[in-house]
Amino acid sequence: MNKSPLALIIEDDGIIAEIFSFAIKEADFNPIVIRDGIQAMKTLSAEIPALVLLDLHLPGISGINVLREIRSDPRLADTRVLIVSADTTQSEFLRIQADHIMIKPIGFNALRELALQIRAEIGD
Amino acid sequence: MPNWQTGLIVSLLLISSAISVVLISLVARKKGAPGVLPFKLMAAGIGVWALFYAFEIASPAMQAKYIWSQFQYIGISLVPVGWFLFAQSYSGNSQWMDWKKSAVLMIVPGITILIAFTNSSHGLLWADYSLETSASLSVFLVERYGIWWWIFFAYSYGLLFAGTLRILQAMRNQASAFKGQFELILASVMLPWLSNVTYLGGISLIPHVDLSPIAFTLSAILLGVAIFRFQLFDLVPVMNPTVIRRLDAAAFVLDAKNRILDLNDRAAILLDDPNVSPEGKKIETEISWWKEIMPKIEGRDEANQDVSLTHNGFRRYYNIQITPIWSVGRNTAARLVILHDITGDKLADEAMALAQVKTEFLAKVGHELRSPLTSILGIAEMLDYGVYGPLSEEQTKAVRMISDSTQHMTRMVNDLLQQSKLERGTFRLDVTEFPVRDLLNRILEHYRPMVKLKGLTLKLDVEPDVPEKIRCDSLRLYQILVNLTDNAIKYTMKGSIHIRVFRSDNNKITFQIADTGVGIPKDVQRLIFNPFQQVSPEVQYRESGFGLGLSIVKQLVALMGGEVDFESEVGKGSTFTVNFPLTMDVENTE
Repeated sequence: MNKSPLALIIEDDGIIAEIFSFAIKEADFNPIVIRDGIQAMKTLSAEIPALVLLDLHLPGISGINVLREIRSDPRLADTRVLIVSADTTQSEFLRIQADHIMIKPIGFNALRELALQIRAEIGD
Repeated sequence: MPNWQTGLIVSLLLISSAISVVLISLVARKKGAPGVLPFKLMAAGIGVWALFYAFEIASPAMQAKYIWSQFQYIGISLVPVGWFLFAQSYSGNSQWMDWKKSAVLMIVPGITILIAFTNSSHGLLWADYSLETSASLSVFLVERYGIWWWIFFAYSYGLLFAGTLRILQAMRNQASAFKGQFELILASVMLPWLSNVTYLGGISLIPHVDLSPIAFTLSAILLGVAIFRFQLFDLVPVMNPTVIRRLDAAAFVLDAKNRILDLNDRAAILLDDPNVSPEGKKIETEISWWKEIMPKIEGRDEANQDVSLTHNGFRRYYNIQITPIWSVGRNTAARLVILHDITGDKLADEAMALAQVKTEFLAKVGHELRSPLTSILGIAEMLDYGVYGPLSEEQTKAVRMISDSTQHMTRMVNDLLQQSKLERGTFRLDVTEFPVRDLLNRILEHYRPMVKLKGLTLKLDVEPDVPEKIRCDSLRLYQILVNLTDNAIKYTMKGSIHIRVFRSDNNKITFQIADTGVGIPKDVQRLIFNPFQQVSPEVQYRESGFGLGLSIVKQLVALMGGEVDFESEVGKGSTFTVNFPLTMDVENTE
């Protein structure tokens, strides 16, 4: 029944997390919302998400460190990471390690379209 | 047998001695000023010398004369050292103010006093002497001097000569205000020289009588005149004339009562009336705005602080440095006050700090607005998409208005952030090679619906000699061209917008955006690239912004090594031209 691939939405703003959830669902992902970096690390050690939407400004552990953790874990080699940032310029590390970068404000439509594209690339 | 001649000499010597005592007590009030201590030493020496010389002359017996002669050496030995130290100290040479050095100078006089009192056993001072009695006077006459006398003689004259030389040198460099003092000091030193030379040369007025103590007393009187007539020790030429006078700051020497003792050229400019000699006058009466400074430095002997004050209606900033020059006990008797005009630096600092605050504020505001904008845009788009159920036509219209406004606000926030990044110099270009025609076509496609809606025509011409690919920051080039095209459409009510791209002279690529719009009035043309400036304020447009667009365009173009210019005529339209150098990086695939 629940064949949709898992997507972690790591975002401390509740409203934004809800919008992202809806957009992701529309692209046939199964979203789980996580509000801080520490919880994100815990979840990542247990689950293998197909997609991670990662906000950089997180309480606890920063988004950059969460990204480092994902990239250093062989289990998560196929996980797509979509960085969500309020900064218009990104560090070299981010540009290399992230699969996608979206600058806030991010519209529902734009995210839904990108998620659809990623979903199509992942396949079943 | 005392007679009138003996009486006269004794009286003169006693008067000399008394005058010395008076002079010592008078200068005692000037304690702490340069030259005061050595002056007292010299006056004491003269007083002692004259007193015992009077006793010697007055005593008829040889034994008594011999003893009083010995006592005279207590005074005689002090005078040259006192004079030498006075000359050094008063003329501003502080290297002799060290007590150790002064003590070294006292070694020879000390030995001389010892030798004088023990002369009978060795004759090092007076080898042979007799009692010379004439009809009018009997004197202790030295027939032959001992070896030590010659040493002391050479030593004393050496010090007298060195001191005189020092005063002469100092006089040459001094300002006219101190000429009177120095002339008196010089006259005072010449007198003992004259009397001594005449005595030793045997041409003294009174045979066998050394009039030196009287000559020295006359000297002391001249110095006394210098003290009171010319305020010696009040007006001390402490400043090194060349250094301080040419200092690029106003320098004053003030006494404890804030009287100006000395000042340099820059300080003289600050005087209310530059024609009035300010020495000896209170600084607050000579510089009216000094009263503003006074509460800040009152009673302070040392300071280094910035003060602001109103001078001729303008706000001025000064750095004030106060250094104590000499002290009386625990109290400072004179201070060097240096005023450095730092108004220019201060204003520049304030402007920089303000610009910094503005830039940081822009960055912060821009950053913080992004999250709520995401929420508004996201929810509005979700409503429109039907996530929360179907909407009526009116509701859909309202929701789209929210989306449009949010996107407009997003553009303004982006402008603010970009402006602040450009101002902070943290903006980085991302240079890549890309097909320029694709980029231009994207712009054309983007604006086609809007142009159609306004009933305008939009034309793009790319000359064949324009390379297929160029190397630059494609995103920023897109932003620049969109900004200019956006303005062209915004301010054109009828007619056309024409985008031309061609290679110009000097191997440049030129992007030209010409419109048939309202044009830019002459008086605002020079302002349009300034931040927060609207191109045509009179043109009412629904989507107003911060007026950062052209400012950002200009800064981006400059960052990319290009230039932007325009021509405009009201009622006929505007043409904006952007040039970028086509460097070796450009790949021409044609």
